[in-house]
Amino acid sequence: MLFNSFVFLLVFLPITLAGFYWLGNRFGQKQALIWLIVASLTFYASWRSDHLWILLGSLLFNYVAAGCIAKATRGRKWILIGALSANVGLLFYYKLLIAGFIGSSTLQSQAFSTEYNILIPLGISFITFQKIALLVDTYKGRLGPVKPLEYCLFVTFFPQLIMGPIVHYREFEPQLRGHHFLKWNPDNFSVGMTILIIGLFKKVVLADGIAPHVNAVYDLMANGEEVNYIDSWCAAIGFSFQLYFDFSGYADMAIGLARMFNINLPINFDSPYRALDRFDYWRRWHISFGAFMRQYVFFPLARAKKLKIGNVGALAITTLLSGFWHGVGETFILWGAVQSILMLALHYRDHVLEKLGLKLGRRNQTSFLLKMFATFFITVLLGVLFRSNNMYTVASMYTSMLTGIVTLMTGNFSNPTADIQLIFNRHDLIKLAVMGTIIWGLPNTQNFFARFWTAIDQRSHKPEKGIPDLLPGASKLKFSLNRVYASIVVAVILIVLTHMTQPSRFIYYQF
Amino acid sequence: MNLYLKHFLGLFLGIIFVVVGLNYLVDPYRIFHKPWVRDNYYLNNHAMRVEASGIINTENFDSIILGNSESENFSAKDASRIFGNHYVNISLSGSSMIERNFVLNYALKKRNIKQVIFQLEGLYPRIKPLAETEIGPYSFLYDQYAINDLLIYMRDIKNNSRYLLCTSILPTLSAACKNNIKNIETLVEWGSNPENQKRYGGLNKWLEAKNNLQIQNALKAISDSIHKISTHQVNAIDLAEISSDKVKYKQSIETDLLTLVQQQPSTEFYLFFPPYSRLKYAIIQQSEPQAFESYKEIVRLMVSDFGQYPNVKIFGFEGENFLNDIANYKDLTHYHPRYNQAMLKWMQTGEHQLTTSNLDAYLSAITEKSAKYPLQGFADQIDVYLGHARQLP
Repeated sequence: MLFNSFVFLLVFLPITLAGFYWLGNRFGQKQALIWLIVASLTFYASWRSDHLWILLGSLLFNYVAAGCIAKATRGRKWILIGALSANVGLLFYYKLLIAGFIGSSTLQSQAFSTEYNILIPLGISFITFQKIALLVDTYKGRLGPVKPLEYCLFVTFFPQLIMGPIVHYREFEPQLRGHHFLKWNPDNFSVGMTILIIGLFKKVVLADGIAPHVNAVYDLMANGEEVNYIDSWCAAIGFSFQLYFDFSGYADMAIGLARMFNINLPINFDSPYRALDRFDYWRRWHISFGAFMRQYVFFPLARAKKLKIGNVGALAITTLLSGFWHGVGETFILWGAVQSILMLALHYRDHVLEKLGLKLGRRNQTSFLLKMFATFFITVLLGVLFRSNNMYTVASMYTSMLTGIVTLMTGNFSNPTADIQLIFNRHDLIKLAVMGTIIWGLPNTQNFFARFWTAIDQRSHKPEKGIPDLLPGASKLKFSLNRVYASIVVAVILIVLTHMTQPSRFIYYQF
Repeated sequence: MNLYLKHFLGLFLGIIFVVVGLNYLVDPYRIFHKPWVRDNYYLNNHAMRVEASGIINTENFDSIILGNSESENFSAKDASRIFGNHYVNISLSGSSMIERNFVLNYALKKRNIKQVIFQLEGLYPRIKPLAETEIGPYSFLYDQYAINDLLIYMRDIKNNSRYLLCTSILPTLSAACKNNIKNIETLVEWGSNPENQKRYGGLNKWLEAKNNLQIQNALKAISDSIHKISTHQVNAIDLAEISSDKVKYKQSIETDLLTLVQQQPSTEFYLFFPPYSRLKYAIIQQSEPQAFESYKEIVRLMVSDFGQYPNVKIFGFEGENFLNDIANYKDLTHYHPRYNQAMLKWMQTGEHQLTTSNLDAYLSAITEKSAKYPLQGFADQIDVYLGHARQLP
């Protein structure tokens, strides 16, 4: 069951909402929590019921482990290490499985297919991360006693179960207390529903709208066919946009759905293509993952006196692990390595400048724009590594893109690939332009909903302020609960419904 | 409830009410009835996997033509005249035999069918579960329950909306609507399309259309096969593998088509292997002899398995000389529509029927014709056109 399917929107969600508010008001918090847990498990089992046992087993194991860590007076560290090893081992096993290193399936080639082909337990990464955070927080004494029902919902809550955001127990559990949680709040419901609809629009209309053309180019490249250099550039940029709206759409849907149940989830996406450098980018893209890696990988490594690797070593390891998390294939490893090198280079540049007492560039609008588009350009180039299933496709794409640049610079438009029929037609180019306008011209979800925004922000460092919305007057657009916006949202949901032919899964489901 | 929610729900539910009401009047997919407003609008032939069930549910016919793109140019009117029944052509472009069997099964259960003209699959048979085929997502349209067919309105809202607008609101205003107003007789045919017509006439016509994907595939297949032959990369025939392929095909055929033949003794089945160009067969025979031998085994299997049933006739047209001239083809496999008409006549008269008595001679003849076909000549012509001679060792 996908968020962008009719069975979810017309059957599962209304029944779950109705049951939650009815049980909550008629019986109380305990019954409402049980209802939400059962609904979430049903949601999970609708993908593959046999994977439900893995989820339940992991849930029980970590509950017991957290309890032991909290109560033990001796050997707490070893219990923690044992429990963490079990969690990481499970994740590692499935990462190797998906890469074809173990088992018979080679799932790497299916990675960017948005068809139903779920062969590993969905959301295994996100579930594992949340439990690792829970175990560490328990060990560090940041948590009180873990309550069983609250813990079960924290792990299984369906809006964040499959693809995050990675939420912490200490952020989640307090929201389940008190009367506000169970009380029907029309404003919360309206805002949540509207954010959900915007997320659906991003996924169904924008991301899925460009995906077939991107896939067509990458498939041709993978099969050794020649592709027009215009197509290779369009596919590279198109994939960056597809990934942006696919992930941003999910992030919106998760926040919107949770809000309909009076729960606030962490913000996971903050206009990453407006980032001014790679560090800024990672403060805006997959924020909860970045925060998790910083808190539970980078800091422990950097502060481990025995390791003596310092910030630089910790940064290198953290970025490499991030690449590994996305996949064990050569392209992901290289993607992680390049990210690592770029961030280290930035780190050293800032370090040297600081020592010399210099500041780089002027902080005006033009320099921000140049930085922003340079960062986006690097993201597009790295996106080729991220999207390609093998190094052959990577090489073919880069060669073709380079041909495009050389053609443009020399003005010689008579090279052999120029005659090849284009896959991206005029309509697709308009789509790309519309997507670009939305990314850089309009306010993002949290700015648009500023008056009602209640999502949790896990970032210790806020991103660079960067540039404002490029469309004149767009920054002033703020959502309000009035008739005009209600009519616009009806139009948006109708557009979404007409595009929901065959629900496709989210790209990040594979991670 | 706040003002925003009231307005949202009122507007949204109001629009949904109107759309559902119009759907009830039109029933675009003909689940329960023909459209009451107008009835000659069809999505297009690419949506036949969706539309076939509605046509089977509501159109007036007693015989069907069911094939692949090679069968789409069969005129149902011609078939009705030649065979004396009321035919409809619901061929599914690009379909595998599994998909066609599935639709045929539904038609035979739903209607009293007198005759079936059915295209077989010989070269590279695609044996995979129905769920993995293109018709898989729409399989609910072909089960015994009409109520779940309503899901199509949620699956395919985009096409459905277009259909609804064209049938009920904008029947003649929009060019997009006019293009799809077709007669059921010519619903799936593509032969009259000028883009297709200009590719008939020989290799020069193909080369002029070099940007067409079908032509690119054809040219690549010729080039690849010549390369394979000249560099001695043609694999020897593996009899064990052929035998294994044959077993898989036999299981698939017996589960699907043979059961239908046995269950419907009063229905006449005209099963035929499509006459691809000799060039296509030559490429396979000369550069992939294994695949060609597998194909022959499949022909043999079909004749031995189905030949015993009095309600089945199997046809193979590869003895015909028109296969030799690619001027009769728009690519390696798609022949000119005039041969669809000829095939109907041959099937009616029994010409080119394969039986156990003529099978060996037929297979020997087609092997010889394919083996002698001058494949190199085509490669040379292509090279000349492309302006660079191929360097053969």
